[in-house]
Amino acid sequence: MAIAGLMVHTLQGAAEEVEQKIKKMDTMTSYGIHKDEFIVIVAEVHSKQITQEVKKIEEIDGVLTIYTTYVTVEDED
Amino acid sequence: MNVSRRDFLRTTAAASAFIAMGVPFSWAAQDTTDKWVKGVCRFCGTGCGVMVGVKDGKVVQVKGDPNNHNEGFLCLKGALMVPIIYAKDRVTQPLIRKNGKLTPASWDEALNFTAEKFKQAIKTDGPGSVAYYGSGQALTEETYLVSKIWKAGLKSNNVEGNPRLCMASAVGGYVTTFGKDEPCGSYDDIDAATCFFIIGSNTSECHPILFKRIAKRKQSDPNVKIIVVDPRKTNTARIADLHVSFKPGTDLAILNAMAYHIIDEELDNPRFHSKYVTFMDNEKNKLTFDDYCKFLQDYTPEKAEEISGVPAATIRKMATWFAESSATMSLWCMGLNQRIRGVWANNLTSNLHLLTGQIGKPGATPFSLTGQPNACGGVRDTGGLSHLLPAGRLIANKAHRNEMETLWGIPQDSIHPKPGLHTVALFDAMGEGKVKAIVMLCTNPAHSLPNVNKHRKALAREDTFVCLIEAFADAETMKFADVVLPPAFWCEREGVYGCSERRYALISKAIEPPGECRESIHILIDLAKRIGVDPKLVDFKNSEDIWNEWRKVSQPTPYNFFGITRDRLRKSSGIKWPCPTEDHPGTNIRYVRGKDPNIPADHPDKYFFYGKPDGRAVIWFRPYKGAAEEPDVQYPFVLTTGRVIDHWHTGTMTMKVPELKKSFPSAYVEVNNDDAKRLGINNGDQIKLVTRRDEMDLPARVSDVCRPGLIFVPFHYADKLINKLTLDAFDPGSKQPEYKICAVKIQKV
Amino acid sequence: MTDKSTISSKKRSKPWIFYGSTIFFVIAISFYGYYQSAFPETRCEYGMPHLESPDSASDCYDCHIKSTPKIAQDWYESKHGVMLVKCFVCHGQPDGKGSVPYAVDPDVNATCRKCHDPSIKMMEDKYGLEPKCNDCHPFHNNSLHHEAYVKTKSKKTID
Repeated sequence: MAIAGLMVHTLQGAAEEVEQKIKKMDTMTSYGIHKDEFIVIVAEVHSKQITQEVKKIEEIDGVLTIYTTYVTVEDED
Repeated sequence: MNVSRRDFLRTTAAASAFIAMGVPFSWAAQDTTDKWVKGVCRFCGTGCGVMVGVKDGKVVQVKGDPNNHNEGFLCLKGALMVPIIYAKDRVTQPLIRKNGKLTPASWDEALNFTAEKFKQAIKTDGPGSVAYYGSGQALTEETYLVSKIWKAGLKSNNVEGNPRLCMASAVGGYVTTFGKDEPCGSYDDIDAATCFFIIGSNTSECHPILFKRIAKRKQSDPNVKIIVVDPRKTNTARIADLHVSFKPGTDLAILNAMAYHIIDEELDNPRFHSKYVTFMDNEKNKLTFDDYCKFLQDYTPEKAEEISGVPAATIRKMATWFAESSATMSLWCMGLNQRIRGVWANNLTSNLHLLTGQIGKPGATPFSLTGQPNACGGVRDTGGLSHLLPAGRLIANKAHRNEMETLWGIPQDSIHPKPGLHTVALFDAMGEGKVKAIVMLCTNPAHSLPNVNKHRKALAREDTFVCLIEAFADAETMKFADVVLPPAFWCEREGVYGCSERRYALISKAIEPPGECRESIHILIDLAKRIGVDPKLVDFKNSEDIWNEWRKVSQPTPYNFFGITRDRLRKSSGIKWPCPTEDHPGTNIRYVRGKDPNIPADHPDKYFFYGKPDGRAVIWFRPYKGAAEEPDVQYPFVLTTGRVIDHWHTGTMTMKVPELKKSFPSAYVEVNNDDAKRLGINNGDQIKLVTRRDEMDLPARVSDVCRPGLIFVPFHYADKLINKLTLDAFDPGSKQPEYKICAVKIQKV
Repeated sequence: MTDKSTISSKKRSKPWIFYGSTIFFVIAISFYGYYQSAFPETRCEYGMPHLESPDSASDCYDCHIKSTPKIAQDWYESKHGVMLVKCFVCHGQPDGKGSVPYAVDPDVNATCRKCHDPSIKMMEDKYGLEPKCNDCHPFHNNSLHHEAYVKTKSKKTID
């Protein structure tokens, strides 16, 4: 299981909408919105699926881009 | 992993994202500058206007000048200029080499020492034993002053500059074709052209803002065609409709073949060339259009295909697009100039314009791109080369010498009648001990001369005295200097830069120079007086005084820019010469009645190539000539050198910007994919390059940029002087060396 | 003796796990293999400490095309990419030792104004807009084919 810190950059004003949609994904936890355009997310998912999960977020309307700021794969086998 | 550790890592992950957001850093915002000072970028010959933001006597920001031709835009080098001014290794005090080490000295000590050496050399070996080697990055006033000091004061014509290494062939080309130097069009032509013929230029990396203008032109009208002719598939080729790769050194055949096709398909403009063109062969015999057609029989597209590797159909396509487009603009740079027949390559490109009448109309012009920011205004126009006098006059021409003697107030026939030594010959003469003392300004020949080992030996000679005016202590040439004098850098003094499009623009003084730095004009005036030059010759209080004299000197010639006063320069963002009077707006198009102020309004013909005695431009019959050192069995590859957008020349400035340094920190060699596969070379492998002159190990960058058989090395790196491998064969007409082609063999280390 | 049905059902479920994991394994290996060979002309093995190792430094794109391919490709195809306005011109360098302040979201006044000052001034004068360009002009996606001022909320449609 990898733990990844993600910073989701959305269009100005779209952050709340996007956060709602991300919260529906059970691998994601939201840590809050900053300046109405950034969402801090922590993902807990196997590193092999990370790219897919990130892609899912990217497809949400209003998402500009996602930065992975931190990844640890300490307890993966 | 236990739960608390997982919690910790989750928090860390979130924290990292918060950190990454940070608070936007208003480090140099608009409202934290005291003033914005107008100037010109320190780098390439595009000559973008910049605004320098000053706060508390320090430069804190730069942005583009919205009123200059670049409309506020800058490339990445221009945008990141600020740290260079405050580099830690700026030379801020005079230095004299004592016991092998450069030690601080006073101005008096350093200048007197230099003056003594000069006086001695002149006394024992005559004025021919002293020299000056300058730069297309020096101010116009600096080079004009030097030319006067040396040619009128010291009676030595050994005044040279690094434009000999980059633009001399363009000068030769324009002068032999049109009679006068400098392009007849301007950047405005880019906005009107419908076809761009870009040959021997990586515009996107070497003239980025012009590349932007070309791309914008194409974006506004998708019917605009762009042809890029280059053995490398550079970033410039990204916007090309046709990228033509060819065997290096075969450009002359291709250009002649294009002319052949244009005539064959009757796409030439007989009305234009019968009225305005003289046809001349290599021996300067005046011939006819029919003779030209006969000459071109050796250059059918099929024959050119055999020589160059470019399919005949492609040559035909290029030629058709060139001739049929409503306005064709060619742009070229070092690919054509740094060849042993660079003058011919320039001629043949202009030929195509003269043949088709693609000249003198908006968008139709043969435009030579100038590499350095002030090679045009500073060196070419002021005559800062060993065979020139100001404003297109020639040393070898007695009438010209007499004219300058009158203007400079010296006795008739006192200027030495023979041209001085051109750059390669100058350094050769130093190597033989014939030139004993030299002042060098704003250039780094121990890094940038071709076949540089030979010339470094010349500079190292005990009996060669080198006085170097240099701002950055890491310049290679510092190792060979006997005296170093610290100059004011870029916006620390006021002066003019003249860029590729004949635009003279003013760099205003924004800040005081650091330490004991002095303006170079004052260094030169002081030195000249101490050597014994008549003080009346150097009676200038500041660069404005020098500018006003130079304006007067240009007045009787077609380079007349008398109307470009200092005041006008301060109020505007540059003016294009010819500009005869203060109310003249400047000139976009030369040689056309109504557009060029040198042509009277009632002149009977529309075009007038007044540089030539009969008013006609020349189509030259130039035969094909390959490179000086073609690849052979022993050395099967071609080595070419060049630039990347992130760095300028010898890197003494751009390496001071951390981002630019990190971007391309060290030298490498670009190898073609197929060649690499064949030789078992992988990306990153160390490979050895060997030429007849030297060898060097470099890491490989394998890509599809270079064509098979070609390798490319950027020359910005002092620790990997690729010029140790290049050769100094030069064009017999322009004396410009062939940096672009030499034979090399490569092998995996 | 175990029931025949139990033995056979056990035997039947195992192959599925076996096939499933093999397929997954094969896909993972081939993806890994593709990923490694996809961009042969770039070298990225220094990965994390990339800024400390001077030899591996590059103009960001070489590695970011592998690590953040979407943004890198967006940039490459955009006007900034064609004009070689490289990443560090706006973002600075991540070790913070550069001349441009490091910022994931660059400050308009410190970066954009260097080149786009006339346009920013026009927007301020005409629309009273505070410079926050990214609201309408996506930094990395300013495509050569779109109008620069088309505002899109969705990536799939243009409102």
